[in-house]
Amino acid sequence: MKLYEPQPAHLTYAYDGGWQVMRYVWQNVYTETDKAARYWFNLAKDSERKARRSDNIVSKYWLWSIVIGCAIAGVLQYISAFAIVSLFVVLQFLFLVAWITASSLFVAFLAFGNFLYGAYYKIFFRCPDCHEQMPIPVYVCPECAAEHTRLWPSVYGVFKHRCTCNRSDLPTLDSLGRNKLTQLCATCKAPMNEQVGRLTNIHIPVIGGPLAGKSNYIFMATNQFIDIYAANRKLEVTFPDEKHWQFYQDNISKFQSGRELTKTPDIVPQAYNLSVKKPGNRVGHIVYIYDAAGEAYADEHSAIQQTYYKYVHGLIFVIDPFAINLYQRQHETEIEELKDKIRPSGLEVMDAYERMLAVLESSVGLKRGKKFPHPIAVVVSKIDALDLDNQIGYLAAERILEKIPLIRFKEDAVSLLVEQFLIDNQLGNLVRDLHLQFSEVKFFACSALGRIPDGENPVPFEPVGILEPMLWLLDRVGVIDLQTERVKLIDNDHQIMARQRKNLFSMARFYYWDSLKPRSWRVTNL
Amino acid sequence: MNDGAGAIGGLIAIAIILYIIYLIVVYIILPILAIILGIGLIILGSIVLAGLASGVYVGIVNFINVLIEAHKRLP
Repeated sequence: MKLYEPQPAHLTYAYDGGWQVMRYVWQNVYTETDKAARYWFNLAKDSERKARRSDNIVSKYWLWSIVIGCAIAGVLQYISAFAIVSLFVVLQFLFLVAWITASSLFVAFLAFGNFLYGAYYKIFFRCPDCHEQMPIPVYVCPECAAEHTRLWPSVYGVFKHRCTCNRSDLPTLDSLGRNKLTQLCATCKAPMNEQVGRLTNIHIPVIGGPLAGKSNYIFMATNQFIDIYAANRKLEVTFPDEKHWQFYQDNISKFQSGRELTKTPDIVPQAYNLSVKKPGNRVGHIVYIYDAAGEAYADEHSAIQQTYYKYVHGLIFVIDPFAINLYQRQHETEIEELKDKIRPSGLEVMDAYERMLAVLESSVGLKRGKKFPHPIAVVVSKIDALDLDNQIGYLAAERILEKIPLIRFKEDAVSLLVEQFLIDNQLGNLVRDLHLQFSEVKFFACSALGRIPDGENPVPFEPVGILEPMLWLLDRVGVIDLQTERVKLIDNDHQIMARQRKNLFSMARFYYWDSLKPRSWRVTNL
Repeated sequence: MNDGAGAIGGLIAIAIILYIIYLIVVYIILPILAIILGIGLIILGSIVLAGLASGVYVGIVNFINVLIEAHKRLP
């Protein structure tokens, strides 16, 4: 991208107006000077005529003195004007050069500062629609709709650019109000919400086959994140884009009246933006959640179009248990009876996974056998059907917690159960490959709707286990601090357990030593 | 002897006449000439100074007007 591009704005005085003034003065100042000089020259001519006619030698001498004096006076008009204009030109030149030097240094300083700020906070302008990254979006003049493609400190102004319509001064810095202007993607010209390019970018695609439950998961998880998690912790969670907010509201209304969402049509999705800010944080996060249609992973051509993978920070891989071959065969009759309600995904799990890896290979250079540094949450959906909640859901997790006290949290138990479930259903290769390819993997089970959907039942859906995958992933990518909360919970438990000891010494010994001993457990029979 | 006295008398007369001419030139003619030339130079000098003053004044006023006009023409 070129740093400089002609803009529909006026160049600053130092780069344009100042030089025009200099040229104009130099070209036009002598007009009046001519008139004054001609006055003196005419006076000289009259005196010369009189001198020639005069017979008196004394008068003649005096008249010639007048002639010479007037001639010199006439010349002095030009000399005076030239001296004044020359002085002005020199001073103006020095002034303009000093202005250009100072503004250039300031522009360079601001540009470098902005670069450092963006690099430190990992802030980028990335279009939620076409997924292209740009150094700066296109800003639109609120008066004449002219598009300014380089609204930053430059030769058009350090703090503001004056639009050629002469009706608006556009600020060049966000701190001066640039973020309030309409901004468009430089590639596809789609409007972008004002938080794009102002918050740390986090990109999370949700992957899975068609009808795996991705959209249901996203909206239910977002709803619980806002209403339950963020509300209790004073997190500021907003939808910076009005369209996304409206779409979210519409979908939540559907869930609250017992209706499922329609199937996602977009092969290459628009990202939903969620802005998350922790109290006390200088810069928040803008989360881009990508909900591509399951058909995006059905063939390689569609998979390769998922260009946003080059920005990915974490992944959510949704598995429809009814798309697992062995499980399908074992429960063929029950699945057939409920087919219209549970809507099994038509894409095999390994196919979707392989396509996802192919996209990661082409987008970010993932190499087989080399760990991808970003976390992946593997979520088995639809556990409300066929008693899956009792096998891998939170009901089953409670039994594990009783059996293995070292496991403190239900989601850890669920992770073990789901992992074992996948291995038991001939997806051991998938599990092994996940651990091989990804530095952080955790397994989850959830039901986005809480029950098998029935078109006639208007009772609102109540999801189960929907929040944990999102929280884990957001914690891993640094949006929230779940780990600290878990540590505090464990610490609280240890304090309670310590207080149950008989004396101060054994309390201290337990709290500062025994509780900190590393523990490992290998679970072979869940 | 009468011829010699006559010659001396003539020389003295010439000397006196030359002295008178000297006095007239130095004390009458030259000052008058100086005054006339001086007046001429004063006239010349005054006109030059007047021209310089008017040139500076016209130059400054003209420059300010052109400068204001130049700025008005800027977009």
